[in-house]
This record gives sequence, C-alpha cells and structure tokens, in this order.
Amino acid sequence: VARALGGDPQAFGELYDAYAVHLYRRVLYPLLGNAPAAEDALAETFRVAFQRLDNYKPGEVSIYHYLAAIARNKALDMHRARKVTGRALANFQALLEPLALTPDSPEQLLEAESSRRRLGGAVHATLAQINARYREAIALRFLEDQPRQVCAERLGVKLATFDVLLLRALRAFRKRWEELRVESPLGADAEAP
Amino acid sequence: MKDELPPIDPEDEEELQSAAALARALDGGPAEPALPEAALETAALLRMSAGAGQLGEARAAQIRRELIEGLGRASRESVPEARTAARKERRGGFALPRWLLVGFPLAGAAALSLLLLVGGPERTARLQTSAFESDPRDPGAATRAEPMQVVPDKPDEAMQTERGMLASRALKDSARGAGHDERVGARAEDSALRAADDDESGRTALAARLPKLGGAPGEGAQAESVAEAVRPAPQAASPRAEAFTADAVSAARAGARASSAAAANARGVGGSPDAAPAASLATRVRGDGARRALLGLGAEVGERRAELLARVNDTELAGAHAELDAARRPEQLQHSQQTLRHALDTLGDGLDATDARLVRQDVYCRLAETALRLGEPRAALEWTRRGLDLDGPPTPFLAQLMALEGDAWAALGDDASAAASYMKALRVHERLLDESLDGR
Repeated sequence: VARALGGDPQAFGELYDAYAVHLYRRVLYPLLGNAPAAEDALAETFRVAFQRLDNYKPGEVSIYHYLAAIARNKALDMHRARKVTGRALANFQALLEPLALTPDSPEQLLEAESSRRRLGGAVHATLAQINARYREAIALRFLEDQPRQVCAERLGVKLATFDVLLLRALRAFRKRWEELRVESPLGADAEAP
Repeated sequence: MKDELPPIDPEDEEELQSAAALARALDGGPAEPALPEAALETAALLRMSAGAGQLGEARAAQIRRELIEGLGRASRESVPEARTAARKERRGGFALPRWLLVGFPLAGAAALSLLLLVGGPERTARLQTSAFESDPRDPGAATRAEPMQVVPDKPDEAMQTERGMLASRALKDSARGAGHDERVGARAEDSALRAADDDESGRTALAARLPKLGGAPGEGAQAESVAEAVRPAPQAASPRAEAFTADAVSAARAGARASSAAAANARGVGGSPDAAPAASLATRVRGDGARRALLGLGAEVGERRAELLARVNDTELAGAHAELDAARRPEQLQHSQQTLRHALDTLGDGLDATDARLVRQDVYCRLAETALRLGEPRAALEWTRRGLDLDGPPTPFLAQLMALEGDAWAALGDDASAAASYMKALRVHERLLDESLDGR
C-alpha cells in the first residue's frame, strides 16, 4: 500500500493480485450476475481505487473493505445506467444472503471452499424438490452449461418450447429456494455431494 | 413437494416473449423490456453454483495488464488527468469542445455584468452567494462519492503498514493452506518471512506458528491450529508489529470465523475431543479480532466529539470531558464521572434534537469507559444500555457504545456476548465507511 501510495503501478498490481479474484467472486458477480459487466466493474474499481488511494486510511479499515466499497458503488452505478447501456444485469445477492454467503466481508475469504460447497449443496437440495423435467432443463442449461439447441434436443422439444420450459423451471426453482430458506435460513440442507 | 408441469401454451404470448428475452439475455444479449428479472437472477445464482463467478486466470491477467498500462500512463503525478479521463470515459467518451471552456466563462461574465447593471449590487450579491453554494467549479461534487480524507503517513508508519498487510495476507494464506493446499501454505510461509524480514521478533513469532499449519488431521484440531496461528500474531511480535493494520485484524477475524465453522463442523460430526476447546477458543479469538478491528473507532469518536462540542458550545460539558481526559487515578476518574453526570443532567434545552442525542450517547460512552477503567463492568453495561436505548442512525458514538458493551461483557467473562456486541459495532462501523465512500 505504501508503494502504491507513492505512485508505483507495479505495487498496485500486487494489490490487484491479492484482491481482484475475491472482489470479483464475492462482490461484483453476485451484484451484477453478468461476467463481462463484472469484469468491467473490476477494472473500474481498481482504476478509481488507484486515483483515490491517498484517501485510504490504513489504520481504520482494511484495504479489502475499501476496495469492496468502491466495487459496490461501481456495481450500483452499472445498475443505474442499465437503461442507457441495455446490459442484462442481475443482482442475486439477496438469494445468497440466507446462506450466509454475503460477499462483503474479508473474514469469509478463508471460507471460499466451504461457501462454494454450501451453495452447491443448497442448489442440489432445491433441485431435488422440483419437477424432474424442470430439474433436467436447469441441469442441462446451467450446471452442464449446454447450448439451448442441445438442451432442446436432449429434452425432445422445440427451441421455443425449451425456452418456456426453462423460464418455468427457474420460477419453480426460485419459489422452492425461497421456501427452503425460510424453513432453514442457514442453508442447513447439506453440502454438495 | 413436486411442481405440476402444465403444458406449454403457444397462445400465451407474454410468456413466450419473456422466455425468448430471457434466452437472449442468458446468451449475452441486452436487457429487453420483457426480460423476467427474477428468472435472470435465479439463473445467475445457478451459474455461480456451477462455477461461474470465477475470474479466469487469463482474463484476470489481461485486466491487470490493461490496468497497469493505463495507470503507468496516468502516473501519480498526473492523477487529476487520470480522473478527468475516467470521468470522460464514464460519460461515454463525450467531451466538450475546447472553445466552450473559454466560451462558457466569458458568457457567464457577460451575463453577470448585465445583471449588475440591471439589478444593482444587492441582487448581484445574492446571485453570487447562491452560485457558490452550488459550487460552480464542480457541479458533480454533491453527488460524487469521495472517500474519507486522509493520511500522508510518516515513512516508518507506512513501512509498518505494508509489513502488516503482507503478514496478514500471509496469515490468511496460511490458514487457507491448512485446510486445502500445502503449496499455498508454503507460499504463505515465504511471504510471512519476507513481511517480517527486518523485524526479528515478528519473524520468530510467525515462523514458530507456521509449521502448525501443515495439515491437522481432525476438524477440531484444524480449528485450533488456525485460531492459534492467527490469534497471537498481533501480540507476540515486537511493538512495531502493533502497527498491524485493520487488515491484519481481518485475518484474525477470518481465522476466528474459520475456526468457529470448523469447530461447529466437528461438533456436528460428533465427537472430536478437540471440538469443545476449539469452539471456546474460536469465540475468544473472534471477539479479540473484532475488537482489534475497531481500533480506529476511538480516534473517530474523538474527532466527532470535538466537532460536536464546538457546535453545542456548552462550557460545562467541554470542561467535564477535559477533566476526564486528564484523569488517571481512581478518585480522579470517580470525580470526573460525577462531573459528566452533572453536565448531562443540566444539558441545555435549546439543543437541536439530533445534537442532544449525540451528546447523550457520547457522554454514556465516556461513563461506560470510565466504569470499565474503574473495574465496574456491570455499571458499564448499564451506561451502554442507556446510550443504545437512544438509538438513532449509525454514528461513531453508536458503534462505540456497542464496542464498550462488548468490553463490559468480556470483562464479565461472557465471550459470546462480547463477540456479538463487537460484531454489531463492526457492522455499524462498516456502514459508516460505506456512507463515507458514497459521499453521504
């Protein structure tokens, strides 16, 4: 930080190495739900942080918190500008919160692996409780990351029908997700197999 | 509970449009009016569970390269230019023609002269006042987020801070390495030793702890080793390591959280004999780490108190605070307690409601603080309760009351309540930071 404060871009690069991945995964992606937008926000976060680094008080707050606050502001700016940019952004932080995966706290840096497993476990537990056809549509499209055409063929439906099926599947999943979180707010529904 | 699966109705135009808009958005298309946002959020959650949300190494490196190149061009000496460039970029590359930079002030001066002629000096003065209230040099100042004002540190402090940062990162890595990856642990050891390079006692302290992270067999033991690794670092190193920053404190909190989770896991799988001591240790460490994260709070409270006292202009109150600042011996502390209580009882009625609440909360902070210094934690708890009952939006005083409440619980030996109070204080403190960064 001291070297970066002195204007050394390489030192700032080291800060980037230490925190970029965490900021992306824990702050920006959950707030934007859109990889290219989150990448842009990440670059903008560090650009702004560099310009304002002399405003950072090392004794008062961690550098992670400082960067995370800037990142959140960048994400909010992107949401505000959505009408102009037309970007499809999705803030799904509220869906993560009941799992205690809220992304803005450095003490969770250590828990990356366990939080990933917890999220995976909660998703699988929810999928197990929705219609099998919906489950299959979601698994193909999101867990296996198959193109729509392949998903439609595997399910034996037309492309437009698959789109509707997926929309309904997502709605059913969300409904059940929220019900389960009310029943078991800390996501006790197990870890991923 | 299984959902019913209704047939797809080709006549339901709205659903078809929503489904098509969603399909396009999921393939990177734009946000169309028919886009069902809730479904898009759910899709993002599912994608994250499947591994999206990870910044790929190649992409991370590319962003880094572009960033460093950009920063190299706009070096620290030319930060104003960099800011201008960033603002320009945010406006989508739109820039005013240069002639307007000259034209606008000239036009403004002409208009002002005209008003002076037409409206006379009195009206002109009014216009100038209102113009400067809105800061003509920077129309966006009211809305733009500016972080806190700070700190050209002394070089030695800066070095300590940097070392603290490196050490804290090393500790985080070490703790992570304990659970998952030996290579990370090795890197952490290297970093920790580099961090403590010119600080012999710090190096010894860190080196002594790192071998413990080599991979403890049970969850409970792992918890204990993580907590052990993180907990003593701030105290064990030399006084220079006292300058460990909030980031190092975060490492302590991280370790505590990890140990807490691991201890809970150990209890859940039933039966590790290490679970109970690990849980107890985790609670203590968590409280300790959280308290350390609030180190800067005292200074912030002091600054806000000075502003507040200047604003309310109550000499008795200011005198009471000054007396307490100077008090050292128990009888002096007791006397200044009495003075503060009297000042509180005779607080002027003419105070603005917000200021009155802040003054009271601050005085309750000081009374609680004094009670703790006098070894009366129950009295301290009562003072903090009174202050917290006044409620109000987040302020440093509110955070300080919570932190002192934690101190009182800790003095009474209730580590769990202490940790809970410290965490509440941290949340308020973090929210204040957010507000500060938002320019609120």
